Amino acid sequence: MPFTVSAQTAEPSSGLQRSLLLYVDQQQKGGLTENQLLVLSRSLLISLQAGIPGIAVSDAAGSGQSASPAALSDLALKAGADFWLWAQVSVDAGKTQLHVRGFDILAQEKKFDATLTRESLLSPLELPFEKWDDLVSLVTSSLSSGEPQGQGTPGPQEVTLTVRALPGTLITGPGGAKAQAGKDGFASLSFPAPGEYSLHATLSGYYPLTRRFFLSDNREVFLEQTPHSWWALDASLLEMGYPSFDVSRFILLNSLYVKLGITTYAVGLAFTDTQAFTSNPLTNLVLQTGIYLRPDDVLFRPYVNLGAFLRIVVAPGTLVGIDPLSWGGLQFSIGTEIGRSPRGRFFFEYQPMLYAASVPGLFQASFGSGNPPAGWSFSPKSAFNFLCFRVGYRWPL
Amino acid sequence: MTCSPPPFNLAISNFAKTAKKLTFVGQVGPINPGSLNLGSQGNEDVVFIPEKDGMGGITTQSGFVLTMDPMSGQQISFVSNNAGYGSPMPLGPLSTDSYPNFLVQSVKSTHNVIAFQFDDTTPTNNRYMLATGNPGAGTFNSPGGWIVLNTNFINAPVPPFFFTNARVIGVSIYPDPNPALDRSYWLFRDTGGNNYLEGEFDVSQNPITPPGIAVRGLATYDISSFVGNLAKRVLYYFNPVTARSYVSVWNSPASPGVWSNWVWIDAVPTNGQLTGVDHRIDALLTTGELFSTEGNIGRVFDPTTPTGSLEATFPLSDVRFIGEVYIGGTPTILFSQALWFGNQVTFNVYSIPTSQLKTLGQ
Repeated sequence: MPFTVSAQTAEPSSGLQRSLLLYVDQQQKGGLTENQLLVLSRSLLISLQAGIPGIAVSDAAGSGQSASPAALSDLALKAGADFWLWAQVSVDAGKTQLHVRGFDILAQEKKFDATLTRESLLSPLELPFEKWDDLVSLVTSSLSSGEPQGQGTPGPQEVTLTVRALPGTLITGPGGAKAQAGKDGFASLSFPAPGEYSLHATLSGYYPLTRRFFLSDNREVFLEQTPHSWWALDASLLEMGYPSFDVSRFILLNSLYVKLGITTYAVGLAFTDTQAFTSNPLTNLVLQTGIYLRPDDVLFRPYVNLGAFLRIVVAPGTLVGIDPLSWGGLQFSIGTEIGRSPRGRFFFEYQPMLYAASVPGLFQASFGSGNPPAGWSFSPKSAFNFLCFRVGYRWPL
Repeated sequence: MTCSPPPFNLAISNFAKTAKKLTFVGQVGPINPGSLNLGSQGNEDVVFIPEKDGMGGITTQSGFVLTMDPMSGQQISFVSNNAGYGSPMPLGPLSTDSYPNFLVQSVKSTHNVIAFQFDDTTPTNNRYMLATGNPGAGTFNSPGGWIVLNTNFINAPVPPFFFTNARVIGVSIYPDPNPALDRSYWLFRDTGGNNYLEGEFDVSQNPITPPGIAVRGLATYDISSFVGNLAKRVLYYFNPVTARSYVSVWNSPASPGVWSNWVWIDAVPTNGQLTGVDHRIDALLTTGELFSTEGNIGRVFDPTTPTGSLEATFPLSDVRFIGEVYIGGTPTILFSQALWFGNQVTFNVYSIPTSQLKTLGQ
């Protein structure tokens, strides 16, 4: 069930009358007709006048003036205003965005520069009825934060954020405030308004979500939660040169997994003085298990893997099968995913590999007669590559 | 940029298939090639010959490094505990014909080696030498020096055989279970004719002393139809168990331009070509089989079938055949492999019971 908590707001102070010039335009190919732009301007004007008692708002839409700050200040002064609000609308990808910038001429200070988003295209019919509470809050707070304040500027208030989410979703707000979506899928939290807040939503089996909201009034938001994937696909380069592909399957969702991969040396990047590519009829099959060490909504999500690899040689006519020189070995990796997107993330791994060697000296000899390559150490029955890295991208499937 | 080259070499992996069936006897080195007057990989073909310890086995703690450098000729060095002692002993230039100019093996005593040298053009110069290494004194030398082969090694010349100037055109060493000695078999040719005779001589730490044993008596016979007129060099083997003699001949008048292999079983012309044995033969094994390492490919032939037959083939890569020895009473094949890492050379020594050699081809 929704619930609310009250909070104090500041008292209005000065009785100075403030006057605001509203200037609305759109980006080139902004998607609105001139009439729609006018309707939008009036919608904003009405909201501001209604939402900020005592303020005088004039509308400069369609004036044809340049939207430079200096020009807007000139325009505002000519209109007798001491605050200008520039709003530029753009419609793209099903969203309506309003880039707003407020400037206090009395304080000679830019008060805000923000982008307001509506998750839909606002039709001409909807425009006049759209609530611009977020914009009103921005202007209100700007006027009240400066020395001159409009008469009747509303003080702080407590607003309720109602969250629609999957039942059982745990919502965590600032200061550790928590609420859990009930069977009806609603959870509510109350916050002092206006203000910007961050919510963190978690539910087993779903990717965690972090959302930021600007609240100036009671509001309801819907959290679009994405089911956590049981599978993932990696594409990467081992040692910065050899392509690898891995498929992971979680055993414990979002934590413990097994991974089957393949690394081919059939095509590799060499970047030596004499060649750009290498080609060897060798493929590694890799079976690993791993575990994530942090939740998946952090920017850097570390993990560790441990597994074994099998070296397969496919050189028809010469050698086909498990490499008789080294059947494979063990590999450990510690890495991190980079990013928060549930759609995919880059990753970087440090991956030392221990090779079994069937015949002393031969594995080392396979590198040729030069000095041993950097990052390798050899013993009679093994070889250790301690300077091995992998970079790649991981897609949940 | 890749962190390192791919950890793979097809030739070495392919050889590893063979090497896994071998017993890894030991590793010698790393050795600074400069300490043995060696060059570097690419112009050196080097073989480590482990010492026969005189107790029916071998040791890799000491041995001899035979090098065949086309730039500086051939030489043999004494190595003990991964260090060379004394000066390498030069063996002369590489052969100009298709035959190896040298036969080098350790002998069944501490730090001793024997080398047979063959002169391509003047077989009267063919000779042998016993050399001894001494780590304590830091020396490697031959007290007796080179000894010419063709002087009075067989008793009682019988006309028309003139032993004082006879040529020894082929020598092989055959392993013997005796812990103190092995056997060598020599093929003599008359001074100016196509009369041939075979002799047996012990190889030990002591100089080879005449008279040897004429393995088919003192009767001579003409095998010039397949070894050529007044032959100067063949690869010769004698099986003391079956009394069969074999020669591997390059450019035989009966098979010009190729290696051909021939057998005879008595001092009369009971001989024939082993047409199924079509590569150079490097050893007659105690199993009675013939072993070829020509082209770095191991081939085992059964010479007892009417024309000889190939029994097994396997890659040897850069592994060199050392010889057959008795280890603990078991006839065993030894191989050497030189591994060059940076400015160091290391030798792997492998073995396999002779009876299992054919399994390398499976």
